[in-house]
Amino acid sequence: MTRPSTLHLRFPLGQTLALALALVVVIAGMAEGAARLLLDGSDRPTAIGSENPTLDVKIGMLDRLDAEGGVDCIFLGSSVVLNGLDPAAFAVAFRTQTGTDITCYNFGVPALTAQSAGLLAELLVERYEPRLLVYGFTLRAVGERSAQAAEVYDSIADTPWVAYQRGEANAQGWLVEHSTLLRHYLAYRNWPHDDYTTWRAQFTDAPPDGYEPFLVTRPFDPATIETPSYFRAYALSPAELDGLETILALSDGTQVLLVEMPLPLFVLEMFDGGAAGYDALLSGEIGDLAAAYDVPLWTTSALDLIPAVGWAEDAHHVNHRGAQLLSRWLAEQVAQAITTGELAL
Amino acid sequence: MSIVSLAFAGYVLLVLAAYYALPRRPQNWLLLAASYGFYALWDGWLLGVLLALTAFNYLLAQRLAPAPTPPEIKGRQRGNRRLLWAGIGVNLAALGCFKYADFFAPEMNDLLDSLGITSSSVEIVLPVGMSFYVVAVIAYLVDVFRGQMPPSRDPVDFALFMAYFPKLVAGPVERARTFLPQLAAQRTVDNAALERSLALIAFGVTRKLVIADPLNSMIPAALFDDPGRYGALELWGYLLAYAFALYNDFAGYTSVVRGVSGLFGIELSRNFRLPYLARSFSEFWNRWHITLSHWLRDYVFYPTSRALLRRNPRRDNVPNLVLPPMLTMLASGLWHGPGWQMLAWGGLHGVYLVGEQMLALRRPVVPPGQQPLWRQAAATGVVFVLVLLAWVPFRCELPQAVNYWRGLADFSSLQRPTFRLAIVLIPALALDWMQRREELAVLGWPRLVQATLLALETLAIFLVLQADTGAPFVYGGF
Amino acid sequence: MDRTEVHDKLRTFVLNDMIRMPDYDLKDDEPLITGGLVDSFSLALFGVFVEETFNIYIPDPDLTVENLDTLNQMIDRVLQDMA
Repeated sequence: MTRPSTLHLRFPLGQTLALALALVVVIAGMAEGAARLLLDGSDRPTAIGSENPTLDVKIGMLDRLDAEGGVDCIFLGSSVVLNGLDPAAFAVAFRTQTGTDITCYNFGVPALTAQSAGLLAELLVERYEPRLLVYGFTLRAVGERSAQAAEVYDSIADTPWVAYQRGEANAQGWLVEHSTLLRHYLAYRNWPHDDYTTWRAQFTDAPPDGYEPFLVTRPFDPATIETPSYFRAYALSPAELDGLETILALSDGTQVLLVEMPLPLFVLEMFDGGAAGYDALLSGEIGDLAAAYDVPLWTTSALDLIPAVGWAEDAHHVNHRGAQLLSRWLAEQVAQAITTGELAL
Repeated sequence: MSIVSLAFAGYVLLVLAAYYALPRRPQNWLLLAASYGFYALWDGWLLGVLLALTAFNYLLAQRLAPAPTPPEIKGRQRGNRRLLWAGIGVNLAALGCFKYADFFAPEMNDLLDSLGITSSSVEIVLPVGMSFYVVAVIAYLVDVFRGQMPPSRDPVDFALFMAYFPKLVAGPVERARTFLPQLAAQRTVDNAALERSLALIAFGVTRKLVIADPLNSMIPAALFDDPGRYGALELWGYLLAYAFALYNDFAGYTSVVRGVSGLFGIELSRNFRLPYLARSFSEFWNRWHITLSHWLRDYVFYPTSRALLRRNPRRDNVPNLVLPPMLTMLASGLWHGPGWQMLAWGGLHGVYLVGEQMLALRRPVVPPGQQPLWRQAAATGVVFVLVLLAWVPFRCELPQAVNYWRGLADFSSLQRPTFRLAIVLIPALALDWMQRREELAVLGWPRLVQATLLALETLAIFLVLQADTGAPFVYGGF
Repeated sequence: MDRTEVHDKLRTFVLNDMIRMPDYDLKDDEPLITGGLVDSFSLALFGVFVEETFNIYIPDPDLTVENLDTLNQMIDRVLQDMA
């Protein structure tokens, strides 16, 4: 006697499903074809589908710049870079010094620490082949990571497109890389969100050179500036130093430059051991690491480049005025370093 | 584990693979183990509550059946009334203890404080699905008490009736009378059943992911907390969005679990039948959350109504007209949650039903289908708008609900809701249109049409899933 | 009580009390519930009517469209329960 079974299926089975799958490919293929005809070369924003909105916007902008003739140098770092280095001011000063044009892009990402920067630096150098990569940082970028910095790292590392670029096979990353339609759709993808308009404005209002000035010009009040939290019991983080080393290792094929982004002297005095202690840490382990890779490390805080009016009210970022000064100074230093042979572009 | 997730799909596939290889009895053991495993994933001790109530009700039902003496009225048999009420009491008390604890929390905390017990030590969480299995088992007890079905003699089947994982979280509220016989019979899954199941899952996933989730996330976060910030057009637009989100979310969920259950060869009841096309409130309640509505009808409305009619058989007698619908809808409100807002929602629907009956008594009945189309459309419109108004206290606290209602009539600001609502509402209407006569009429359509719809659905799901799901990313100054 | 007698009593009750149109040309197989002529309020009335007229009790969960949608179904149910 045979046992009654539950399944009583007749074959063939699943023809509708198979046809539907084939249609998915056909419809998606046709839509992709139309997108390439209509959208390739357009200046409409694209996205890579990262939870990190700055990264999401900036890769699309850099792609566009790349398509328009390439990018010569990239400023990488956290918000101190985002608000502190103006590619336009840099280019003007550079041309004055050298007589040549230079196209730079500011890839400042809020709360980016060295480990995250290392991850991005490899990707940016491989994809856009800039002649110069400037990594701007403060000691915070290489200290013990805050929860916020960890969140930023995850938001970058977990982006499927980033993982795909780093050699991890994943379907989403592959699709984003190869589909014009998807890249354009991703810049609209949050249409079901109630704050979609604000979100979308990040793409439509994105500055073409990546620089976002700190527009509040109210001067800071030293009495209200507290000791930065990372100054207390500061310790270098091995993971962040690994990230820094990843950036330095890129100097094999690209000119890499480390720039310590400025903090006001009175803030540095709050550091354990004062400004001298801050400097000692910079020139110590970090300086040694840079030297090992033959990468120049330029410090700025001690130079006191930024007058009081050039600082943002939090005294940790420069404002637009400070950014102009800093960018000009950097361009002049780069031009000079090219002449002396310290930098090879 | 969300019902619409890859984790749940994986779980179902694993259980199915073993299920198809087993004969009927072990299949039930497997389903029971899978159901308990599924429930334990939420919280182990929730499973304890379920097990305790299962054992209690199983044993109680054995002693509830009526004695074989002939009843006064033929068919109207009754078992041990005291035991029945004790059983209902224990089930409701368990539900009340967990579900309504928050409502009474301040008073309870005061009491505990006065007894020197710290209130945080008695924090109570709502066992998932309890509202659903408690009403299902109460119906079982009543049916056994009335001699309409024998008590289940199979503890595994009975436990499975209470815990069957596709329906455990949010129904449908199945009746033991129709569910237990399915467990006792050999199940069959043939091509037609497989197609039906997959179609139900496809409809459900679409309703949930393509319609409900986007609509929910398009509603401004502050809308129901601070309706005063919005103009009348926005309030109407987003209320419409909320109504469709609620409907598609729940109807989508039920469709998925019915489809999943169909893969096991076990049929679960339909819960939604295009509710917003109802031309009367009675019709609405035969189309919205049908299994619960029918439970309320059979175990609250009919008993109350018949008891009153036996005393005074006149239909237009005021208590006969008012009490049964009001009690039923207030019970529905309480079932949905503690607090005045749910009572207001239920109360409003009670008033709607009473009003409808009073109007009906004044004129002869004309079947909606025989009325001119414009009257049917007008009736649908009126019912829909009144249902919308009732969703307001369903969603927000009473003071905010009052502000919301006021705002609906205040056209001083003509700010419009986002047009993006239409991107979702149009396909939502298309889905309803596809299911307007037969729920799965689509299975009779040409294969190319079915495949095209499935392909479009797949692409739509892919696209909506591209939206960020996490909380808005926090920017930080460095 | 034979089928004709049950039929007549039920038809009169349906016309006068349930749909309240004594002159309505009701067919024996006309859908009452799905057709929108009868709702739960009327079915409760029907339940009490058969208790008092035929001394039978139709349980609440049986007062449904599946069992009682037409006059014929109502007659069948009453006759079955009286047997």
